[in-house]
Amino acid sequence: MTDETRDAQWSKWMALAQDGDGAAYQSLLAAVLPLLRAIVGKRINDPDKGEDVVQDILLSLHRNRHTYDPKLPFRPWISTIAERRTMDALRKIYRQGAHEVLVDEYPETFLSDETNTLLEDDLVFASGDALRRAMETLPAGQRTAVELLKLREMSLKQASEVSGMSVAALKVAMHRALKHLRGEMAPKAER
Amino acid sequence: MNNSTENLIAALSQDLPPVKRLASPGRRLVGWMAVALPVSLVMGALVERQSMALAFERLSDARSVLELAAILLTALTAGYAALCGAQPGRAKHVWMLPILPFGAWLALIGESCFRLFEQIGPEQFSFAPHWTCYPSVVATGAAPALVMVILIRRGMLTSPTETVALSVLAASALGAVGLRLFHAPDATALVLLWQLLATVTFLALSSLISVYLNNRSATA
Repeated sequence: MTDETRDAQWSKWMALAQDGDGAAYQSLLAAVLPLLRAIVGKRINDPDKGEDVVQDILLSLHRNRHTYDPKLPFRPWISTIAERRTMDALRKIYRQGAHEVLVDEYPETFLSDETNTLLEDDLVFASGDALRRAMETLPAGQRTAVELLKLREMSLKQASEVSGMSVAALKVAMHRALKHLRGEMAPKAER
Repeated sequence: MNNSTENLIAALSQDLPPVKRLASPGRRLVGWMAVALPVSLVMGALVERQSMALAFERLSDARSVLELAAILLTALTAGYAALCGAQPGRAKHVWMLPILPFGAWLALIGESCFRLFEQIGPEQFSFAPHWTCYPSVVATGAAPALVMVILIRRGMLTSPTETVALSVLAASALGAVGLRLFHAPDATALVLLWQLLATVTFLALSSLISVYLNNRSATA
């Protein structure tokens, strides 16, 4: 497929998405992922951070999909948004880097041995895997609430726009999700 | 594909509501002029307590008409460029559009100042701010600025510094039209010079604020 035909296809999908066609939108977002990853990858080498930025771009694209004019080529529109969000992410990374120090070992917090023993089953955030496993046990609505409100750090209003859930529903889902996660990740002795 | 990215795409695509497309910059510019210019003119006439007689008198003077044309063209080109800046993917060379009319406006003010200086001499010539003119500057500039902010917010700022600077220039220029028509002292020289200085100050301040907000949004 040439660049022109691909751009025309993306433009067509986006126009359909603006009219509410979810299937066209899903195809479009999946199709543009390699382009987004390439744009982000040029500036951010860390694959995990890069994927976070790609997701930020997808959210930005979603919130601003009304700004696309189907008479114009699609690629400059999406590239501008992607470049912008990548630069924002880079600024954030540099700013955080200036204030954070990486340590090999956690400093001692309390004298007792139990508080300074890193055991995956005993410490809630000792492993990202534990959190991921717990997240997978959440129902879809609750998982969406956690992803948008906590992981993507969106406001309730933004999360409501993106997910289509009402603000009240998001609050309830978030509350239930936290309760569920606490139960899943609590030390075994407390269960 | 990364699982969480896949989930996000599925979540975004589910029950997708239709959206109202952003109108073209040209159409939004027409809307801006249609709403902001009459309000600015009425406010200018009210604050200055002037009838249309002064405006007609100014409009019959070729020099005033030339200045008004330069000011209006500055407002139109800067407004169009600002609205383009609030829509991703639009060509950036439109940012250069206001240079010529803004330069002409600047040259006409400079020439007027020079003539006034020659006429009244250095003792009488003063660059001191005319504080009594500020209510008029605010009254004529408020509507263009407010409507422009609403229009810009409907889009997406991918180049905030340039877009905000162009918006301020556009709003100041459109406000200057009312000032030029209804401000009782001949606003050719000093008042417009101060308006210009105020515009440049707004430009610098807005650029700084925009950089600050931009940095904040990046850390949020």
